Amino acid sequence: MKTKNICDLARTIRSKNAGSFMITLEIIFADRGVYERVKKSGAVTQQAIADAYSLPAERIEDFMFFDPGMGIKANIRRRIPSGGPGETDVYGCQQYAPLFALEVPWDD
Amino acid sequence: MRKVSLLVSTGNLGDNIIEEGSFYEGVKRDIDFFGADAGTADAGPTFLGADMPHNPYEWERHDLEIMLVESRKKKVPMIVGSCSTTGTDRGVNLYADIIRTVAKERKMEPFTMALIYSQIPMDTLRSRVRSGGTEVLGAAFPLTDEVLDNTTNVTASMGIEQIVHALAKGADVIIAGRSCDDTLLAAYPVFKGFDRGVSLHMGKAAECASLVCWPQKVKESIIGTVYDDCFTIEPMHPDQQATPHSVAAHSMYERTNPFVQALPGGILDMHESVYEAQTDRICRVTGSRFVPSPDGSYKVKLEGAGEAGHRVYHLVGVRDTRAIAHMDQILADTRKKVSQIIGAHRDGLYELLFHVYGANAVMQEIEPVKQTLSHEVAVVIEVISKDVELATSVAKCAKFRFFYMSYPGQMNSSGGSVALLTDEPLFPKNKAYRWTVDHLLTLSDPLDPEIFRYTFETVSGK
Repeated sequence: MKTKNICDLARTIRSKNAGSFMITLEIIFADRGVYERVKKSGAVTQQAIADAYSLPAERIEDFMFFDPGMGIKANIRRRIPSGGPGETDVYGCQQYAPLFALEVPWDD
Repeated sequence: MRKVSLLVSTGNLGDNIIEEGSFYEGVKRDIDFFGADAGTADAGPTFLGADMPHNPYEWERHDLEIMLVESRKKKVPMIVGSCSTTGTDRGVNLYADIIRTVAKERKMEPFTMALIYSQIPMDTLRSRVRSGGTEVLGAAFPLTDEVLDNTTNVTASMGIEQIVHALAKGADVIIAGRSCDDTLLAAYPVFKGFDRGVSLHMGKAAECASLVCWPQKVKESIIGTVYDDCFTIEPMHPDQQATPHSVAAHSMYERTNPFVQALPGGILDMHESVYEAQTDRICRVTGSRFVPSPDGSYKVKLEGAGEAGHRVYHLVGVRDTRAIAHMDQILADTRKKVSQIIGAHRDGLYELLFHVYGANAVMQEIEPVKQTLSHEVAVVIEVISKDVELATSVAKCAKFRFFYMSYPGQMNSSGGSVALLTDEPLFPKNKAYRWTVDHLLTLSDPLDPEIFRYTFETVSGK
């Protein structure tokens, strides 16, 4: 089966602090049809995101689809709170790139 | 149809300046109050820990001045919270002084200014912790004596009730300490008798001003209007639109859950919220509900930070791909050697950190790429210690040992293994701080006078 890369389907892929102890990941779509098709495909799941980060599934928390915003969301707890010694992304805004590995079955 | 309209121009007052074009476009409209939150924990723990400003004074003054001038012309309230990024007492006093200065310079008619302080004295916090009034929120650890000993400044984030109290006392200008951004903007509609759920969701949608609209722009003004059964968002910048999608998507921004938002006294429930296009530029939202805490409790968020120590850096580059291939071993060897030289008995007195840019510095333990393909990397050697001399010695030692490292397949001779950016170590101006408190405090009275302290004054430029 052919696939499409998430970057060719989504409008926005980003990460950001949600408080100083959590990082929230977001994939947002511009088109309702594309969003619904990705949602139905079953290709974007808590496990798929965990695999993209090479993390155990339980590190990916609160995985959800948010229909009104055509978005997919998940959270990762920080090992060190934002901005403290040893922490290197104060705003948590460069933690999304592994999501680029997500592929969605797409036949046409 | 009765309504109350808010002009909001910035999601973070003072971290840059409000764009004036859309602000004055908004001023032409029928505005019932001006509001802005100036706070964010995103900036990092240093500003609260050291109680120092994040923003340049002139940007803070710029935003406060245009809001004050226009709100006094219209004789409508101006509500600003989380002053100077952190909402400490210093921040409230700074903004209050700016308001007094502008009023004087502009020879303004008298008005009433309320200051609401929400920084908690450490002794008060200790006694609340002892009596069991606190619980964990974002932090995964309880507030032990050790945590409190390592905390310098703590604030409580106020909700709707504290602002409403100041409005009821006749405040024209409210300068508030740390505040929840959504409740800060919802307080005036609630004070005027509008539904709490609708008002809160308006506050939440409007709290970052033009970021709720597409295409995204910062520091442009929007108008949030609360009606009895819905609210609307309308951008004042001609190129922007508030669409059902843009407003809904904003519910996700910087939040762990777009359906539920906790606030003092309950939650904002957005499961049934419906986002519709009123026009191609105005979004209307219905169905949002405030649900009071089932047990009737009233909990405020505490935010605290404390000093971690001095911070000393060396920044070194590695271009040798054979060294890069063995970076993990080289760093482990360097760490071991530093401990030997500084003395194992002092291991607990400092933290030695290596950030390998080009490999995994940005994502650290959640980086899925295990072997870098980069032909050069930067290693930031970071040392934290309460003792600046020790931190400096450790940084120098790590740099020196790094310089003389050895590894399999090495082609250079000892003493040629890193490219130093600077000959001397680098010393940031400020110490390092860390977040220590992200907890809830239960209050039996939302106006608890030990936590929220008020002053009212008449400000006059005459």
